[in-house]
Amino acid sequence: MARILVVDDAKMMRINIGNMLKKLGHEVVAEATDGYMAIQMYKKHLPDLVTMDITMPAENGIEDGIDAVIAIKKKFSEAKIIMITSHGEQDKVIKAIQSGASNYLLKPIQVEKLEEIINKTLR
Amino acid sequence: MDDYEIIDKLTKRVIEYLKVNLGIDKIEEDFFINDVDTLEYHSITTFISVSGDITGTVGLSVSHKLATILVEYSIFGEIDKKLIEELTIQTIEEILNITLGNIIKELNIVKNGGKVEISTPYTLDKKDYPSQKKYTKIYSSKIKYSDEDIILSYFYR
Repeated sequence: MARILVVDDAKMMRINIGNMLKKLGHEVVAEATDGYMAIQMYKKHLPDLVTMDITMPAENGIEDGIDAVIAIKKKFSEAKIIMITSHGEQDKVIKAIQSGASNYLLKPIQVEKLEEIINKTLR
Repeated sequence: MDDYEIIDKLTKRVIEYLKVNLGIDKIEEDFFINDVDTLEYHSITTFISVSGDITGTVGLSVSHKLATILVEYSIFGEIDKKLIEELTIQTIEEILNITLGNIIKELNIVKNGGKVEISTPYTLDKKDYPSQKKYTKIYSSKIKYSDEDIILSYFYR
């Protein structure tokens, strides 16, 4: 079982990902609705894994999920982050991976795919 | 690119998404694409702007009743009934975002090396809907669900 931080500005996505993670036996330790909050929550909870939406509202100079990845990885190089994205964001995914994200998952999210990518990332 | 390529591929993908990904059996697979002068809308309409080698605006419109049904199908596992109302707009935005994102790479213009970008979805009040006068053409399709329908539109420049 992993302790996971779920980051997404859309409540329905946080509920969906959270429900899937619980079904897979993981614990959602915290949720965040923007990149800045994600950084604060990471520092506070030090989760085993983060699921991070790419496009979110800017807050305190953190423009999106990529900025949050850069900030988290700068301080916690061991952080494991899975980007959650749609097909239209391929350039951003590449940037996120180059910035230190471990992996990415395309929407629509299927529980089997989520399980596979978590296992691969935590291995 | 055929003018109606986006609306054709998007309509097929929305049908597939609703039937296969969300498991809504009652969605009908037949649809027609119409070239319309004025578009009708339901009470919740979400838009995504398309830019790059093609330019336009894509819309998805549903009634409030159908939006609440889509929320129930979209949530994995249990949902507090009180939350359904709060999640209607996000759900419609997510459906359009996912399905349009899915078909972009299938467009002939992208397959041939072109670049097409999409905005984040936005849901407007009726008074703020895109002016239909500034577009060359409006294509529309309807997906039937029981006595309701989903209206998809593509405002093409």
